[in-house]
Amino acid sequence: MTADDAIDAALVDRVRGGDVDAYDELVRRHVQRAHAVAYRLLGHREDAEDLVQDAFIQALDRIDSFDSTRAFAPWFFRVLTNRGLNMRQSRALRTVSEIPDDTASSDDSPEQSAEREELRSRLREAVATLPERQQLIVQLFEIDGWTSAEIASTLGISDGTVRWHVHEARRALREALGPLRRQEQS
Amino acid sequence: MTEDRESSIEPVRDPALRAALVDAFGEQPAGVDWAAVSARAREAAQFRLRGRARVAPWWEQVTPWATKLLPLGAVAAAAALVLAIVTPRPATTAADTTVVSRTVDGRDAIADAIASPNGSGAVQRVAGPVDDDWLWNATAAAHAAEPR
Repeated sequence: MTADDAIDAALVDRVRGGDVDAYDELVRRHVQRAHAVAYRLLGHREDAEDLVQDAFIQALDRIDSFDSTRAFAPWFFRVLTNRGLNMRQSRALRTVSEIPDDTASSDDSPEQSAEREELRSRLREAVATLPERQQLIVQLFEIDGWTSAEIASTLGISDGTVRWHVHEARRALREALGPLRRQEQS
Repeated sequence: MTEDRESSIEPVRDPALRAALVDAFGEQPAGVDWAAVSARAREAAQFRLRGRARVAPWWEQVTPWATKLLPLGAVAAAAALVLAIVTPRPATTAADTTVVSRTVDGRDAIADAIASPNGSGAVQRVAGPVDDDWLWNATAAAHAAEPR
């Protein structure tokens, strides 16, 4: 158990007794990472904020079942990812439809814009075929720049498993985007 | 569900792949008000936390003790009942009044006084007159009779 885990465990014990300050501190320590994961699961800022709030409430409701001798973060992020995946399935989400404003360059010719759009949609389709946890891992690693250790401690898996997921995702994406790249090169 | 495996090779960052993924999925949103998000989470949890902080009423605090004391009490009651059944009752009962009799050298002084030749006088000397002066008179008489 790391020093951070020990701090979390002490806070959790106080939260069990209804300590508002301890709950505040626990939220403050995890809210940014929670939002990052929630955003990768749902692809929408407001949905991500709702999910974060929901996950903290669910964690509070289940706090008595949490084993304080273990790390809080993987337990909490399991609650969050399960809830997020349920939300993603149950809602007709705005996930993939929310495209960042800076993606469409005004300098692009119509042909270039079409190519970019084609690549974008192929990439989204390819990522969607990956296992759910792998989708999350590859986005946190490739886009958000998290290290394999950070992802591992958050999801409660080993660094080696994270690295394996990244390699697997890359291989799958290369295969899916291969024809498009060959088309571009020819 | 895929079976997780391990890899010891740290993936090298790929700027081209990152650019393509950012184009498809976007960067993390900027300018999130973390204080506001935290405040919302706290507000949503207030009711539950207040419920946890509530001091339990006496009957809830007693409950853990009661679970230990009740079986003990039941065992003690059963043991008392068994003892009451198997213990023999005494043949005689105590008298309603108690007669206290003092004896001197194993003899009852009052009985001796009654049996003595001067009867009631002797009894009076032993039991004492009603006026309570007998002790003083008897002491004075005994004192006078002593040889000087």
